Amino acid sequence: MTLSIPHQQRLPVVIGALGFLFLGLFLLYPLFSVFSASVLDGEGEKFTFANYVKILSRPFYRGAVTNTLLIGVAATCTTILMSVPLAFALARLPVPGKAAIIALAAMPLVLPSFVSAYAIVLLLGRAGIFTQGLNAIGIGFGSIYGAGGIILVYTLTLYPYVLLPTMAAFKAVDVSVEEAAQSLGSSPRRTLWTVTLPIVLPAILAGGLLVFIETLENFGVPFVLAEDMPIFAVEAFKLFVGETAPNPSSAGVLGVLLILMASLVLLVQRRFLSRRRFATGARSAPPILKVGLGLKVAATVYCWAVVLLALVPFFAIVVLSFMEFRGPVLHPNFSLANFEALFDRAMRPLMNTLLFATLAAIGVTLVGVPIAYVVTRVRSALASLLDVIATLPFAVAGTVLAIGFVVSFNSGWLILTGGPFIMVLVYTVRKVPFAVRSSSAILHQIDPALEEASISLGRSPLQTFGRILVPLMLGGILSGFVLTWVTIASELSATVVLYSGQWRTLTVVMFQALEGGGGGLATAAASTLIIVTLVPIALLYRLLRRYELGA
Amino acid sequence: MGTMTRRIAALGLVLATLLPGGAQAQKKVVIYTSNESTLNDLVFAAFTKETGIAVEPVVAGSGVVIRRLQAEKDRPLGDIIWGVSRSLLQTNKALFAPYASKNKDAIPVEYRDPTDLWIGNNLHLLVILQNTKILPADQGPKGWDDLLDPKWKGKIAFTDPANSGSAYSTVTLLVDMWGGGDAGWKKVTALFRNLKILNRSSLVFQGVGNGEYPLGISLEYAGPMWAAGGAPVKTIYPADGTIAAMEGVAVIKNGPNPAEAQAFVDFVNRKDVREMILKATFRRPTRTDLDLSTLPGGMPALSSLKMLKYDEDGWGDKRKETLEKIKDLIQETR
Amino acid sequence: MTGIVIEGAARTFGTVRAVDGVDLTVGDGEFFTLLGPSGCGKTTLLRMIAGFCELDAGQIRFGTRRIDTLPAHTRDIGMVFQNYAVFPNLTVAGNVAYGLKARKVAGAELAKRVEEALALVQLAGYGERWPHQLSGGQLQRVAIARALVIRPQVLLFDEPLSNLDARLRVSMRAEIRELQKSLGITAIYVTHDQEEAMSVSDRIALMQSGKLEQVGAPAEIYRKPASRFAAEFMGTTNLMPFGALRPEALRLAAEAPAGWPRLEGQVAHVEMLGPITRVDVRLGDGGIVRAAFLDEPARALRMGDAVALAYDPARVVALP
Repeated sequence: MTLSIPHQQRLPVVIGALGFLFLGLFLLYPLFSVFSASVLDGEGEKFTFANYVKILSRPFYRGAVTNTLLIGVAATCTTILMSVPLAFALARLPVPGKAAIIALAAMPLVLPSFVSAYAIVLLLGRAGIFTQGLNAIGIGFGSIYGAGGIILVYTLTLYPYVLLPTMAAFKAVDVSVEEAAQSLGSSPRRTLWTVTLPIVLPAILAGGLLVFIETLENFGVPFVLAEDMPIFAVEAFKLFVGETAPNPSSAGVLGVLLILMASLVLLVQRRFLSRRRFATGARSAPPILKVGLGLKVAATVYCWAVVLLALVPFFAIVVLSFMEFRGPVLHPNFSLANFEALFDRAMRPLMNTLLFATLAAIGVTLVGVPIAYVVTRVRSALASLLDVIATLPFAVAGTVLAIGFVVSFNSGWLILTGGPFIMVLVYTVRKVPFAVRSSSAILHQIDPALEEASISLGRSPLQTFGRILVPLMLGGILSGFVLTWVTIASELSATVVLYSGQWRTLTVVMFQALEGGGGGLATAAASTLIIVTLVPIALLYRLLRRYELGA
Repeated sequence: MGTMTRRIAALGLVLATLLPGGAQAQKKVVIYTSNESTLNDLVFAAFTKETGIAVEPVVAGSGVVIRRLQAEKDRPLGDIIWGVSRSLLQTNKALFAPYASKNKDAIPVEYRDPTDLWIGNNLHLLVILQNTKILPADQGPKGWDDLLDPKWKGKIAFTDPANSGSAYSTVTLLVDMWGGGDAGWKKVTALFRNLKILNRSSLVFQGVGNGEYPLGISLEYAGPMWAAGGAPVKTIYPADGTIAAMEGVAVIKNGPNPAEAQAFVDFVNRKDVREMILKATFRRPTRTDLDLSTLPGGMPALSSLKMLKYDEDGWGDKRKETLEKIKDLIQETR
Repeated sequence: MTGIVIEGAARTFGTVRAVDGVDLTVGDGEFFTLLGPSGCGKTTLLRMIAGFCELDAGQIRFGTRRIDTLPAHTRDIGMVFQNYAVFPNLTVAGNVAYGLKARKVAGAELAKRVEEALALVQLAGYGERWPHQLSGGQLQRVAIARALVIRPQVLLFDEPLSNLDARLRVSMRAEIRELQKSLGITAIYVTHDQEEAMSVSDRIALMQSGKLEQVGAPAEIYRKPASRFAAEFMGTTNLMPFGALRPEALRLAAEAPAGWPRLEGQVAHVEMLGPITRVDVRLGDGGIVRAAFLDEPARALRMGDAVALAYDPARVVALP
């Protein structure tokens, strides 16, 4: 008997096989390289867990784990506490300027976090402009350094991850469920707590998970703000690329531990969510609630305050980029010299950024959407495995994956180091989970009967995918594409390990400029990145509006 | 739908025109450098202008650069490694090709390899930076011993030695200077109680320059660089002694452009080039034929400073254990 | 045009035998209904024919051509779905043209056939509308036009009317029946509504637990159910010691021909439904008999009244 694949399963099987191949080669293999470095002895020959024992027996690294987890949990909580009311207000309350708020809310994602941290030190450091202003009027403000500052920066930069899905969930709540609760005698407030919030809880948790994982792997913010508090991602980075004694085995241990921590949280979340899937079959968005003037004003002030506060570093960078820098020293005079210097020598990095972000966003779409199709439409152990593997990059810090790539693809049959594609591939792999998640969310809402109708009318499953599913998913695919594009354009942690020669990007220019104290060049590069990434966001909003009106 | 497809296609066209240009027939050299970008940009622009050879820089910390070099040893992609410490050059000699630089004779023997596998470019002195706006100039420390005073607790910025070769040199130098062994470590422990251990050396001089910290332990060049930019930064040459850490350049063995690589080695140590570098970035040259007193920055001659002996190779061999000891020390003193 | 032959079709999901060895022959041009409660396997069987469900065993042929091994999109089937499955990203005309384009029909021929099909389902002039502008009944007409326009060998209906309101259901089922007969396309229709099944079908296969319970013309299954399940599923049935008895086989003894056996009891419940009146009568042994009479103004039945019923002995069905 030969192995035969049922004909209606052929497309998913082919996609699935390609998915396994891609992720196997460009995710699991590099991670295996990192893992094997962590379980080999000093000579790189014998298998041992000694490296783990050594690291975990050191109070310094245990402290790093504790600090990282505490900051991560605290930042996740504050982000949720700040974002959920914001999401509710934007989804259900009469707040003027909603479209503007939502557009502004996505902007913190555009700025690389180490640049935000640089700006925040200039504003809120011990000698910061705000700090001195506050001290001058008698308000004692310590400094932004330490856990509190890190949590603050995370909250203000990562909140879109919670805000956007939660807002969508509030809008998707079937209003008849709320009406049912109220008809049973529940007050509007109680209905919110007992009915509405539980329904949007999965969305809040999904966003919170992203925030938590981002805090685990982010090194730009603690790098600047932690001072001498050990933070896991920073220590891992130092061990990988440390100037003095790179230590691949210890770095491997930290990398693997980082992956394990993130995976654990991911697993807990998946289990939790699988047990509560609330179907909400809302046909239309729930109505804007009628509220009193007081609440309306409060909600409006709150929304604008949060969004504008989060954009302070953003404005600061733009303002700084138009100031005079003598060497590394800032002087408060208007100047265009920073941009002259930038365009003089950084046009190529700008082009590289645009090119890589575009190629990788295309790659993410081409890999992520078909995988989402398989994991939503096929129920089998292999499909679940593919789902898990495609989610894994969530848990892998950019630095860790990048090192895995360097180790894995520097020799042998596939050589990628030194070229541009290594970066495109790492970006693609890192963002695949985002595409898979957002696409599966859309696919879950598309009736499988549409595909069957198309097939019964004579279109093959592949044609059906292209002619029915892709057009139906287009809005989601496009917004995912732009979000991916923007986050890749501001990526640093993997880029700084991978770039070479002519292929440096704009974020690398910023990083190097800050290293050398060239704040002028760095802020000009950041401003340019902001403008460049706002273009596709603006285009997206226009396209989406047209799309929604047209169909 | 139709218009949208067309718009996307148009967007694609626009992006396609942004593709970096095609292959150039121009001569080039790939330089792995751990110098910061101001220095890189200055030297590469001048080199290309003079020789017509394009430079493709790979900029990263010296640890990353060396790791890359080691990883690529079967198929080197770079031609030059520049801006790494004497000890890293020494321990990775096997990766370099010998070349006798034309400037060899202007440079003291202690700053070049006897078999010409590497040659020194500039010297970093370990110094203390002081922000005179927060801490008046006359109230600062005179030397390392003064830093042990508990009044400086939390006021001295320092770099994590795990991420900075010069910070590692500082700690180990002080261990030796303060009596070596347990006695030296005891005093170093006392010093650590006063330190803020930052993640990168740039954070130290930015911190002192911007007034985040009154004091910082840093490399020499940062002081005159910030002072020249108008920041209230004073460079303190410790009265109880310091050392000069060398940075150098080497030709990578089997690199793709050996002739261009040699041209760069000659260029970067030429007298006029060193003068240009000093004026713009305050790097003290290894050449002894420049009169520092007439040049910007006002750097004192080495002969006017108390220079200490430092067992660079010895501490280099003990690096791994010592770094672990320092990590524990950091944790204990927080 | 084609008949359909199903031989030994079987499919197991986990431990459930969804379709358990079904043999069936559907005649050319026949309107054939798969009827049964939810979970009986009727939809699985339909999806096997459509190609969306693999067979574990057995085979399916259209005429002499075996089709169960073919990919679904090559089977030449028109299918109408319960929730319409009208493509929201295409206009009405775009939906109807979809299958034609897959068959490389283009230009004037395409436009003509789309228009004809829309006219056939009384949607002439609706071509440029978007699906979200249509009502449920109109959407289902689009779906039917879309399935008919490709002139398939076989039409499959998967509970096409269950999302419509009661009145529309009745008129639509007549339309579907009429269309199918006028085009002469073999049709298989899945429903759980026995009245709908009887109204549209040439023949019905009653299914239970993945097996065929009984196959036959509507009247035959109704009047001569082969099993207790069939009897009860097809309509209200009195299960008496002597056999099964439909309510309409009973009359008031006073109105019945002489010689019909009699049953006596008390009126337990009266339901006036317009043309007919349903009456539950509690017999002496406590059992309930359900009867249905045509409306008769002179008759007055009240709860608690003593009443005598008589039944037509020819309409008693003996069940195995």
